[in-house]
Amino acid sequence: MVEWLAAFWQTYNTLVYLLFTHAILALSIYITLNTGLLSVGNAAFAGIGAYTSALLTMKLDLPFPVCLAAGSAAAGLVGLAIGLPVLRLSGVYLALATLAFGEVIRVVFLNLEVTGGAMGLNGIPPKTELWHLVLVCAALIYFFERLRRSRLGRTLDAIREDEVAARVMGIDVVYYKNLVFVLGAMLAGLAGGFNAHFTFFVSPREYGFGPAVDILAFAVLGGTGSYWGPILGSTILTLLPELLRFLADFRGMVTGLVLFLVIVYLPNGLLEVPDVLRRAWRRGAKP
Amino acid sequence: MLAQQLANGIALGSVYALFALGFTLVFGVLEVINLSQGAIAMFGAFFALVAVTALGTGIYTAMALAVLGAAILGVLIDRLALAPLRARKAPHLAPMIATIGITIFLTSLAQGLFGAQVSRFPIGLVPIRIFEVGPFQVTQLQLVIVAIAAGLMVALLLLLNRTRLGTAIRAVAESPRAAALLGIDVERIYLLTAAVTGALGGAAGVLIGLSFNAISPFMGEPILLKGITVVILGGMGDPKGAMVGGVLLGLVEVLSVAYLSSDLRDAIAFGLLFLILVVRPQGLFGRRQARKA
Amino acid sequence: MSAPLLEVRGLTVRFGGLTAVADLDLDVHEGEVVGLIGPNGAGKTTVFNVISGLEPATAGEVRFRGRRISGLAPHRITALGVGRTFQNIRLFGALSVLDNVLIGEHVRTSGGLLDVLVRVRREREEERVAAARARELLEFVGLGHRGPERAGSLPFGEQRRLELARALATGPTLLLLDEPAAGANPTERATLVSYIRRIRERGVTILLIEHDMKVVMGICERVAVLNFGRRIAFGPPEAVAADRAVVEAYLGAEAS
Repeated sequence: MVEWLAAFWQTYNTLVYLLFTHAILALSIYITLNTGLLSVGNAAFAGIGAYTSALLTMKLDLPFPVCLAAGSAAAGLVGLAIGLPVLRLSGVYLALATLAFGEVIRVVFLNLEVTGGAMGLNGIPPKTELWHLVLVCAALIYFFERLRRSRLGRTLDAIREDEVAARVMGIDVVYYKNLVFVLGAMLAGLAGGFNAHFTFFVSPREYGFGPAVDILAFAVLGGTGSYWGPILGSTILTLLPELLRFLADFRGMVTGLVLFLVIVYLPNGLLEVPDVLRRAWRRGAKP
Repeated sequence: MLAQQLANGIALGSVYALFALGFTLVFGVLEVINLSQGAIAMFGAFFALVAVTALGTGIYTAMALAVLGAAILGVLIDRLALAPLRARKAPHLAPMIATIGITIFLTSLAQGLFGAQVSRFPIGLVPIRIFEVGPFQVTQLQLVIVAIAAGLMVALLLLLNRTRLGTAIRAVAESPRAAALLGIDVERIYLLTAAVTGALGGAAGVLIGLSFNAISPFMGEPILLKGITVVILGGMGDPKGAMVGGVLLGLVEVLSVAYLSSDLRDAIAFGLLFLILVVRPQGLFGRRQARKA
Repeated sequence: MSAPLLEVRGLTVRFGGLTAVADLDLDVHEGEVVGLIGPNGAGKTTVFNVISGLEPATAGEVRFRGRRISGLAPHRITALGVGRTFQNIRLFGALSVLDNVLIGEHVRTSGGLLDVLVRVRREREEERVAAARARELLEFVGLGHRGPERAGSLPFGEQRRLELARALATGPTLLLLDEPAAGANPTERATLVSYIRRIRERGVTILLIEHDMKVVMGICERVAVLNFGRRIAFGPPEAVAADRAVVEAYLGAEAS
């Protein structure tokens, strides 16, 4: 049994780490989506966190927590800088602006000498341990659970539901939008920092358009009715490619199809499944 | 030298413009950001490649087949994904995300069918000839690309502005409800728009495949990102803006490669996009939309 | 007479070529109920939007308690004590009735990120006080039993009353009510009028947009009449009702 576990861990430890960092990324987009903002810049923020923390580890050999915090803070600062102009946009325009921002950041990584260009950074010391991730995720669940029943949580709900009414209720909408945008950036930056310290390398490819879309897919698949939705979505979308390994190059089709079917037939994500079943059951009960 | 760069820029820009035209038309009529437009272009390029290599057709026949195939693909996407969302009156972000799913699906499908490597059209498909046009030296390929792109754009503008169908399309873009009251079959217009935009995407894909002589399952993403840039430059939903924006982006890219650095090409394009969104979200040529009360 | 609570001076609002409000003067004194009436499109809601900060004034100014508020952001104006409701009801439909009122208490509470993270006890105490106040307001509008329900699922008349409670939760000195009885049946209308009276008894000054002349005549001390953005009359209801310009512009339009 112990041997089996050891062998399992040997093969799948990266996957387990990914489950956690993807969950953090999913929560990073949830906090903005829950406020009604479709920001798809979180892959870029994760990249900023990954590069910053990896460089601090490699060049200065600073303690891991310091590197992580610096990566997260760097992402937060960039978020703060672009938040004010970008958050005046709404809906698809915000989505496109953050998408463009993400591409700009990717091209910057690609062209800077310090980030290693297209090759990225290699040989980052592995410092992420499972308990770090468990701890962070537990803390996040605690945070989101408290948020749900707090004044801050209600305020964000109000902005999502009706921005104009929220303003008339005395809510400083600009402030709160920037707050969640920066928080999302910091979370993504943290996930990026963890990621860099167990995959040994970072490259611009990992933080481009594709990953940005993946993060959005986590939240959409699970549903944003509660913070459990994005966690569920990220778990499924992280495991799915592993489970579908036998499909080789075709396996992306399943991911695409799942995302597509969910958005068309389950607009509130997988979280809605129990409700849908209950409704179907009731309809069946009284013909 | 500068004249030559301008010619290259216009050739590249006309392809961007063609692609962006399809993208902007979907937005104008359906108010949907169709992110699968890049994947449609990619499949268009592959359709042409298959026609040329497997069926042994010439490039023009291949192009026609590709356009037809892409139009059908566009219609399929509309029927399967966008129509049900319309029927449900889903918020605008839903179709955008659905088309992301379709893009992932199609990219993977292409990867499985054609492999992940870069494929190329056979050499000499378009005869390699160089013409002197005034101060410009242009290849026959460039002429073909500009001619096809310009021809299709003119055809589309004529369709939109000079035919009853075009009037109906513009009416639906303005207000689907009012159009329905006037007796226009709105769903049919949506279907036609999907076919037309699919065709434009497919044509753009073939031309891009030709101009870079590289076709791969992953070519859709950069095309899409360029298309988004162009559409935002020109103002969302504005066909003329898309054309001007496309040529503008082509020129900016070619000139920045020539005079600055090839590494900066994308940085400039996306930097421009970001800046425009922040400073002038209505696009360079658009008017600010009237505020809703 | 003391300085007015709300002063509107030379207010002009233009949208492109269209003048929605033209050179409007208006003053509301503490404790008054003032009516703002006029045909559809006369610019009444625009006046409200400017006072609450949702739309900028093209010219002129709005003063509240002697302080210039035109140009301030809406949340600042609310914090100073100006609450409002909307003609077309803008509740947070997916949230609970109680949460709607609690959101209204935003400016009277302060919990932020730190409270979520660490100051658990302080936050709990604030929440308790806020919830008690919210329940009291729900009782006041007769929705005490509706707290946990989805705001969007309430019947129309109750949604109107919930909007009243939510606006009162912001702790206003001046309340702007935009057609609170619109779309209501006669019974609901009578109920709403009684609530407006009781709100006034709580010491809240009211500026009221209303179509129903009976409602206006019944509760307003003074009435301002707008037509095409211009004030064509301002005074006690009886005097306004007798005014020829008003009869032509407003009552005439109503009759036709």
